[in-house]
Amino acid sequence: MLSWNALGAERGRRCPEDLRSEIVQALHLESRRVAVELARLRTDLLTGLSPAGDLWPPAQEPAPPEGCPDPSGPAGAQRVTVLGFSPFFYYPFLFATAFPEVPPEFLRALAAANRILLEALLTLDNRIDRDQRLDPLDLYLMQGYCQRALEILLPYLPPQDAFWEECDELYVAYVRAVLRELVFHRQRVEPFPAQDFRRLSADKAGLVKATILALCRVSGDGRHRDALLASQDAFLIGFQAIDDLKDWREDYARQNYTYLLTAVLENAGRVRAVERGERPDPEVVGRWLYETGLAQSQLRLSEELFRESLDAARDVPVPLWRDMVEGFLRSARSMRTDVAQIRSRDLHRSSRAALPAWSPPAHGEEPGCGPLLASCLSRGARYLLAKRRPDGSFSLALSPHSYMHPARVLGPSGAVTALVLRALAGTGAEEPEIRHLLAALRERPGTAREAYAPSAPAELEQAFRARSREELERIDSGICDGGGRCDADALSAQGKGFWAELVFQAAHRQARAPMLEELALREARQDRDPAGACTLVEAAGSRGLLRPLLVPYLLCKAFAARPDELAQTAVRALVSRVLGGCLKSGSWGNYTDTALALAALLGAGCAATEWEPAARKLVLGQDPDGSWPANAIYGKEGRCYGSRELTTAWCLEALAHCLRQHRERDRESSGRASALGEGQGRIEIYAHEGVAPERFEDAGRLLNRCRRVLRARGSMRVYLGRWAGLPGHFVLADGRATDIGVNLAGPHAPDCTVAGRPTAVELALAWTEAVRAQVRGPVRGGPERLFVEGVGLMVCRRLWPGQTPWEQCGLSRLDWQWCHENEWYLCEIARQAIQAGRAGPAPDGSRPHAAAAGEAFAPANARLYLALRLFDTECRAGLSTESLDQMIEWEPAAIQGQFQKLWGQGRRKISLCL
Amino acid sequence: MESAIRREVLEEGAAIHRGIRQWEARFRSAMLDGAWPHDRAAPPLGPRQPETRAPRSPLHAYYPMLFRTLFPSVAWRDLRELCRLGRLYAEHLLAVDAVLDQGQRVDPLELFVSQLKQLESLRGLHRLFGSVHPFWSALREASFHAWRAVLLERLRHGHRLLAYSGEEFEQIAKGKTALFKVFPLALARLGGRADLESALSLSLDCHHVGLLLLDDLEDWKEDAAALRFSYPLTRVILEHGLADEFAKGARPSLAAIGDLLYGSGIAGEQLAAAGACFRNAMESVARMELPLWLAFNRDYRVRCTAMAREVEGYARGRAGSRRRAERADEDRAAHAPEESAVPEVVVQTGVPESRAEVCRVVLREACAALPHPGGLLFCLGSWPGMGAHFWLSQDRCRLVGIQLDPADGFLSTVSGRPLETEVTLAYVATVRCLLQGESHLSEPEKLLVAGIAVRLRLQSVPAQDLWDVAGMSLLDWQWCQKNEWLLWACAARNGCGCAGPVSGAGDLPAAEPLAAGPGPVPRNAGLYLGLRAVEEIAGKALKRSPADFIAGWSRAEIAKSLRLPPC
Repeated sequence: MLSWNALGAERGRRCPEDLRSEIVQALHLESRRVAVELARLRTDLLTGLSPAGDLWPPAQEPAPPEGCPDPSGPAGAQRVTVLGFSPFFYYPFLFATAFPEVPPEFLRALAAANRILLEALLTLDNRIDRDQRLDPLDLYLMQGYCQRALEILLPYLPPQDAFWEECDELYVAYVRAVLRELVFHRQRVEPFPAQDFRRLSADKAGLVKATILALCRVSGDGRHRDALLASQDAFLIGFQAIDDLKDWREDYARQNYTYLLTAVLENAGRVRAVERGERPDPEVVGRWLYETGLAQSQLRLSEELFRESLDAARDVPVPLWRDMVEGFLRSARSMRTDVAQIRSRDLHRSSRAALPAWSPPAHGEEPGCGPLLASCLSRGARYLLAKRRPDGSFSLALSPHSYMHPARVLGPSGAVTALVLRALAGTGAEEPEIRHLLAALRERPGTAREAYAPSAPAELEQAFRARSREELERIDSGICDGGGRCDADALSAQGKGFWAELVFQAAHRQARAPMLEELALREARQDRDPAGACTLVEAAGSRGLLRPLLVPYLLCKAFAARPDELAQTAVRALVSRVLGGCLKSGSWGNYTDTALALAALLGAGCAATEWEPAARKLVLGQDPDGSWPANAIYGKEGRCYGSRELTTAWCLEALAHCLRQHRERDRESSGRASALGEGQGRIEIYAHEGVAPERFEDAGRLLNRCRRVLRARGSMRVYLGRWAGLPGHFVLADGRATDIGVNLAGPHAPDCTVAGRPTAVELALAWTEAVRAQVRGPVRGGPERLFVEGVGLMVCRRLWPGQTPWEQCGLSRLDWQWCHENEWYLCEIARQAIQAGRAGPAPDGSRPHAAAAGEAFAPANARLYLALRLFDTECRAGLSTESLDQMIEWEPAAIQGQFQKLWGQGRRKISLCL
Repeated sequence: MESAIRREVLEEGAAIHRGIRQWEARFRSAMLDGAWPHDRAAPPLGPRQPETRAPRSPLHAYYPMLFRTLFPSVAWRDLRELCRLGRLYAEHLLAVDAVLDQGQRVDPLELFVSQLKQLESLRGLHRLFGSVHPFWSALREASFHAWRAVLLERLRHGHRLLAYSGEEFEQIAKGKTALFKVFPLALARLGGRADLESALSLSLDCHHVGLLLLDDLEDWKEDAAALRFSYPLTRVILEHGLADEFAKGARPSLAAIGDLLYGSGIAGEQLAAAGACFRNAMESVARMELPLWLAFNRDYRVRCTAMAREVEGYARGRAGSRRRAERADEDRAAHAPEESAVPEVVVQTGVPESRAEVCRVVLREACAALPHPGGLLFCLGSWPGMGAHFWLSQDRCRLVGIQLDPADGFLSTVSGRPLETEVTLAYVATVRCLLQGESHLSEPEKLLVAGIAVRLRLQSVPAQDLWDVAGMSLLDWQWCQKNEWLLWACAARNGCGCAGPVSGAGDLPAAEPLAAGPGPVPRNAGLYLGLRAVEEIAGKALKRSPADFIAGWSRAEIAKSLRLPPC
């Protein structure tokens, strides 16, 4: 066990290197202790309210909090530099070295009391900040937290101790700051002098200073008091400055005009406009923030404050505190550097922030994205032309990071040149600039493209050098064992990247290479490499890694043009493999991967409209000089090799595919616009006997409208009828078509389903669930169902904006009011169910546990209220910019994460750089 | 002797209450320092409650003292401290309760102060009992009971019409008051007589159930407006088949509910049950030396009996009163103002005649909704130094001045409000003064007047935005919504006798609430608050027409309803 006193005896300015790991482990332990105590207190308080489990399910023993590695496990032996807890879980320990007389029990008590009291204040602060009302549970827990915090502290600091008076003063200052901010800077853009910002920020977070006061009182040593208080003040203000920058979007949505936002609006001369209610779009505000340098100034301010904090504590033996502040200082500095780079790129992008419609224009509409794509291609081609070396080759660069920054140009590279030419050939050369570029490149002799810089990795250059047909056929026969199969031993000398290139070259030269084909098929059928790595060479302990998406890209190019079944099977498998790496945002992360994936997919015949987000990313990511930022294509022994020209060529290839498809669609759509949508999936509607014909027609009309709001991913069969014992709607998906059943109520409620909801709403909910099933398979578990129902209700809100939400949820107005009043209760039930892992399907398969647990009190259909509120919260705050089509594709893990964010115990990860 | 002790207890309670007010005022002033306009006087000292001239001695400031005769060994100082801490804790609970009832309208200052009261009370209790004492487990248990009861009541009977049995009500009532019981019972611990706790607890429970039965009867209008279906309300609604109407959102009128509550015998039964509770509270401790507590319960029984007599009388005279009300309505309809009753309008030289025409149209609409007793003359013009509107009495005629803003082409007044709003505001204020026979309006009256004026305008131009009608920007309007607590604090302070904001000149009183001043409160915020005030009053009113409010509600009633000082 670490001795805090021993650490204090070091009296050094920095944390001793040999104790670093031990300190981190000790802080982990202490933090976990506090976290468990907090969780247990909450559980006890909730159990006290519902001892028989009638209000909510009986509580379980709180599990150790996430993000906290077990110190006894293997991770404990490693050098850990990041703690999974906010510093407010172990705050007193940061100062323990300055107060060696203070017993560890008091430090622990203080840490626990601090955190528990903070929880009470945060609850209130959050509600005020987010304009949310306080619910009974908040008030109850706040009361319980305050009481417990006092119970912990009073044995050490009796009620008559002067500490409490000082605490009252800190509390008053905190309230004063909160109220002042509320009155002067919410819904109001008042002048915000720097002095006010400092005072408000220091006071708002000033209650944490009680830690120092308590340590001084208990130790009887007040020597460091003023220095530490000043250091804390400066740190807290700096922290607030960074926080304001990170949260500017939320602040703006809530009309919380912080110091930073006020400066942004003043700088842009938009204060009066905001006062008139003409608020600029958040994207515009974002541009003002980043393009005018205000974001950098804010970060510079926080750096100054962190330095001020360090200066104040210069002569105090608090190495842990100093290390923490220094960590923040470094983080602010690196953020500032990043912002500076982003700024220059954004300056260029901002001119194209409002992209035109992606789909081809209808008659009489504005032109679509065609001209923009063409302009991107032209500028990219000009860039490549300018970067072409005199011998017609392109360069390779070296960097310590895979994002190629900073990078050093090594010289010409045959591999890069070959890949660039290949990509440009894939563009189809329809644009004049590209034609011109290709012509210029062809002027140079082929041998020049074989040369490469001495410091370039030879294995990379060798792998991508051009081979003759004969050589390729020789290699193919060389890897054949006696039985007409691939010889595994012969293969193992080279990595899969090497073989993929040979497959491409063999296809390109129309060489007869059955072994290479077999190899390619085997590779295509494989799932992604578990480590996400792709070897180029693997010999004598030297392992060179190629960018993983390059392999499917090469193989797609090799097989896409071939009509035979074997090749098409390989392409389908490759497409599916590439799709597996697609992120929620619709892209593949960086520009290089996005371009490779898009080029592979579109080259294999996929529709560009499906990948609009990825294409948009590329369009917006083009730098002013026409290039795209590079990523490494090859890495070995800590060295990363890449080329801006190569990434640019791949981006051009991907965008050229988009443009070609766009023009084709444009041509097709000119004559038969009314036929659009036929290919999006067929919908067949069937009705049981006795269902009125008008219902049948209504369903058809409605489903057509649904399709426009939320796109189907396949064909659907919809059945209207009555099925005893089944819920309002159900969805069955068998891989080919999706069946929807809508269970109509009897003649007593002609326009309702058995769930008490209007038939139209039920159809929209069922449609949403069916689309979800097409994307991610059947809905599993309570959170996912709640999520899908939320999306369904958002579809309803768009289809019938004039209809009351309670009607859409199948609730009476009174029931709706009940849900509104008792939203806290519905949330708590859902939260507990989700945290306890009871998220599996309910016994009847129709209701999530989350809502089922609270049905003793809640009206039927109350869960729909909750589902709608989930989205309302996000969408109204202006935080979610995703379309419903994107939302419906969320991964189950992302949904779970969203629920955790809403209802889980919020815990921010902050680096403690020791 | 008994009355002397009683007086002493009440005086002690008043002193404790005063002490707490001073303690609170110190913190409130410090907390508001900076949020308050710099050039204004100190903010209101206490929370938003009517202050009476006699020193107040609220119940929980002396509750344990009612039992002191049974525990003579407890030191006076400890007893007094227990009372003080009990009162602080009770105020914290009452503030929390108010937050729960208020819904959207949360006063952050009140919450912060309430949190401080809880901390102060707990620290004091630690001084009194130490860290290890059975008192703490009793407090924890009581807290569980209290909150559970609050939650159950909200879940089962807030916005839901479920059957409400007498047993369930009793359980909820005992639970809700469990925390108030802890302090008198702690006396038994301090006095070393833990054996008496159960009998005392039983008596306190009976008393509290009786209190809540009375409370529900007194607050039925607020409860019905907020859809809190209390025990008697649930009975009225379910027994008379009104549940469907509530479910559809079409609420029956308060008058109809009141009629059923008092006329059907439910109120009488409720009072009888309350009386029985107070009797049980006395009987369960009859053999103990508790003269103050017994007398306290006796008073409540007397009150129940008196109320029951009134209710009985109401039921008997119900048919007659309905006939009288119908006659009164007929009279009012017969005396509805005619076209000629619209006040005369004159304009100063330079003011376009079209402005006078606008004024006449507005007055015609206002007169239709709110008749005036005659003798009004509206004058449009410019009088530097005067408020946006003002009135002067000349012989038997009252002249109402509307000061237009020439810079705005005479479209609005110097207050920034549209001419239409200003005229309506001036008209409603004048009618109120004339009907009440007063020369100026109190702050709560000004709020009512402003709210009714804005409502009248909105009826005429339903498509216009609220903030436009009030002469505010959208952002200012939103500010008011977020900082309503501060506006109420301003209104309370203005009503406390502090110099009112000036919109007139010389000795003329201000004619509008929260007139513009430096600091964060936006111009015309009084109109926003006026609307909210009318909403609040309307929730408790049986009749809701503008004429009923202006003519029927007294100055004191308005102030009480808004929880503002009446002056």
